[in-house]
Amino acid sequence: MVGAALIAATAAAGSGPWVLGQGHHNLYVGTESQSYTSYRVDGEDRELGDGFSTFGAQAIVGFGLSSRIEAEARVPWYRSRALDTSDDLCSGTRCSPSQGLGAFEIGVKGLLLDEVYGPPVSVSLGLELRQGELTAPTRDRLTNIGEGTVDVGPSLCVGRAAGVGERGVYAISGKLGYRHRQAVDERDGEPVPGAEYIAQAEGVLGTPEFSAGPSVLGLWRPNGVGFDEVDKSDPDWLASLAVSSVLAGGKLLISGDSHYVTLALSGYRSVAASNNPSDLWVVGAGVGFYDAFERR
Amino acid sequence: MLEPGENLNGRYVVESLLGEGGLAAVYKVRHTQLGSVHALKLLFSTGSQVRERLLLEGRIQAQLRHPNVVKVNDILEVGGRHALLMEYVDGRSLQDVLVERGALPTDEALRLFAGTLSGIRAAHRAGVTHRDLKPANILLQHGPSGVRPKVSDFGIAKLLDGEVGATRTGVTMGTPGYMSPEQVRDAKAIDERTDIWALGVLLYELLAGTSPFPGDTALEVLNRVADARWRPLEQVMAAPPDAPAEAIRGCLHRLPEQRYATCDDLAEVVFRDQPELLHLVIGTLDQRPVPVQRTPTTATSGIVAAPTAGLTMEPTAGDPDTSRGVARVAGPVIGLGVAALVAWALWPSTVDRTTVPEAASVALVEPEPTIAEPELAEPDLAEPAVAAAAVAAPDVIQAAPEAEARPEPRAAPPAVPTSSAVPALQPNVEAAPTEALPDAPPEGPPPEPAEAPLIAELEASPPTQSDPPAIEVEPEPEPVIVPDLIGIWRGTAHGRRLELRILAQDGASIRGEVDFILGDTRRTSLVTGELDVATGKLRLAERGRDHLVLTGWLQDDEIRGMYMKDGQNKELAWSARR
Repeated sequence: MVGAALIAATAAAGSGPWVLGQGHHNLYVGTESQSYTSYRVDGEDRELGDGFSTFGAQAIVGFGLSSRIEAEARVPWYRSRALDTSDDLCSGTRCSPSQGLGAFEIGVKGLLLDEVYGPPVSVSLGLELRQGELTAPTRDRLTNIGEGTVDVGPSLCVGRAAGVGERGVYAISGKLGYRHRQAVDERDGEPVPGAEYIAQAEGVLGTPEFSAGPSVLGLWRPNGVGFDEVDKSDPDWLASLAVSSVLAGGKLLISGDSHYVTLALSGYRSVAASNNPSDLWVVGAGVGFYDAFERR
Repeated sequence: MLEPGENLNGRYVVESLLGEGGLAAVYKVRHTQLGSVHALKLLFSTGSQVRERLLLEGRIQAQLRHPNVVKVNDILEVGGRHALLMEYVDGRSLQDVLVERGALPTDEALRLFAGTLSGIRAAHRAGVTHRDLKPANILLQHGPSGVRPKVSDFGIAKLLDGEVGATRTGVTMGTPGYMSPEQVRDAKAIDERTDIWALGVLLYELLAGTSPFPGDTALEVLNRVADARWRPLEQVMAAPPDAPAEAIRGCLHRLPEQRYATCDDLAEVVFRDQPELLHLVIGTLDQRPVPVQRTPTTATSGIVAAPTAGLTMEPTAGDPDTSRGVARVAGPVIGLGVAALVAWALWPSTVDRTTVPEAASVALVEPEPTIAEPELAEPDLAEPAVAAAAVAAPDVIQAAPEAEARPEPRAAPPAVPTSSAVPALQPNVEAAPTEALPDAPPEGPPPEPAEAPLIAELEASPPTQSDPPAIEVEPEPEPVIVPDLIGIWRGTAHGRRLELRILAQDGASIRGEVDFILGDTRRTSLVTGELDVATGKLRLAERGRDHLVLTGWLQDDEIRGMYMKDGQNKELAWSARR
């Protein structure tokens, strides 16, 4: 069950509306770990014994197509397993370990407003495509690493980065996104899975070399059925759920003196959930390399 | 070109060509009546500017009656061209010796340095700054008891108080590796501390056998000189002697006021452990030759290295299935490990990104930065290093009283031993294998003339402060010093973090990158442009498209200016420091 946590992963990489320069690239490699022991159903927490654990690694490459347009690709790998398979939910193979490549993501964003040239904020419009068919074989498991769907949708991001005093810097950004999910089935006339909305807000404050700040991630899939109503023999039962999740946490950025290498540490915990883990912890660490494959 | 045997004005006969420079040739000539041998420096040009400079050189060296200064005895006119008749120095230049031998033994180096310092000290006390002191301008005169360094080529010298120096503001004169930082900037704004700088460079080279300002090009050397970025002696010499090392540090300060003010100050430091040398420099009229060990086979060529120990060169140079808590942290820990491995593999080379290329931080627009005036394309009026017997007995020359060389007598020097009271030197002099010198002058050389020969032209226009020689300075382009901008400049642009990396500079042309750093994103623009050396204005534009246009002005080590997006009128402020 990594749907919400995937958002956290992207938060650890380059975020905000800003784009790379033309011909320049950024490589982020990182890992993350997720775990949870309870599941929120109709406002009640359902304990899942020792819970579930997921380890993931990912690489994200950004490339500047022009001075205002950046393309990004993300390749994740996950291994997910149940720490205790005695729960009723774990019948059959529903709690069998799953591992493999997750959903590939590619996206492009274009800078509509560029604060560098005067506007108070930067605004970018993005388009993202998530290809999750590789995860389809295990999509019915609680240990799934994806719901096996192909999703596409736009996003709008607003941000501002500036200096504070002599040495300080800050950066704040917010993002709203919509994901149209290719239907694999229909429930009561509604496509399954339903569309998703995502929201993200974060800010960092510090020095050029060391900055940290809070971050909030949100996922909302309004169309779907309840946990107890869903037919759990249906391989798309998880994709049929109406879900929501809010994760709160923060991240820490440490840059080397050259500012070409950035270490990113992040940590989140679920603070609100519906048909989603209610005590989810996500911790991640990774390193971003600017122009990693270019020697000047 | 004079030919051997050619008679000059009925007084001198050309014996041989000793060498040529860009502006003059030096011949060995013999007086037809006296049989004395001289060096004749004959100009190629008949131009007034070059002639005046030659006359200035003659006047200055004629004033300096000092055993460590090459004497000028007369000025001649040969075929419509002017020439200096000079003392003929039997030996090569110090430059030749350094090239051949590299570092000299400390004792030998200090003795040679003492003689040179003594000569420059005399010049300073006569109110003259040499301004082009370098090993090539120090001739080593052979004598029965050793080698005596003699300073020559005062062609670009300046009378300290008389404003007679043949330079003008904005003109770069000198030789890159020996020019002082202030000399790089403005040849006119210098004083005797410029020579102190050069003496520091000279002492360094004597001890280390290499320049403190290494560089493949003159521009690179000038860059280092302008910033006084010299290679520490400890990097090129295993165990540099304390006092000379301290003296070098005292000489090579970028700011003149931080250097030793006088040669005496320098001498007291460099020779604090060798009182006999200190006395030679600042305390007495005695100027005994520097004894140098030699072997018979090298006797005719001066102080060529001998295979003796004394001439040995100095070294130049938790289980997640059982522990949920562990499971929660194991991932990141492993992840960090993976990330660390990847980081190790991909970490960009800091050197590649940040190292400032070894290009000059001072670049001259002029193709040849060593000389001021375009017509003086060659380094100077320097005579080639010459060798042969001196016209006068070279090794027993008693220095003329210093007061004679001082237009403005100063306080009397402290009482010091006379030549006979310098026992430390005498054994060395005696130990020198003078017998091995087949070309050594005969014993009992004639005494040094009490006064220098009068020079008609000098009498006509003595170089006094109130009546400086008129020097006709022809219009000449100003060599402009272009500051080196290469490096990483960090600052802000419209409140955003900016990083300007100037990666290459070819004169005034610049190539680099501008980064706007926004959050954890870096946006880079490749820019090219140039620095207007006349106004100091820098203009950079995004390569190809001109999306980004920055202009700025360099002041001290900061650039401030405005930037805009091409096609928009709104200009925003930016600034950066290196």
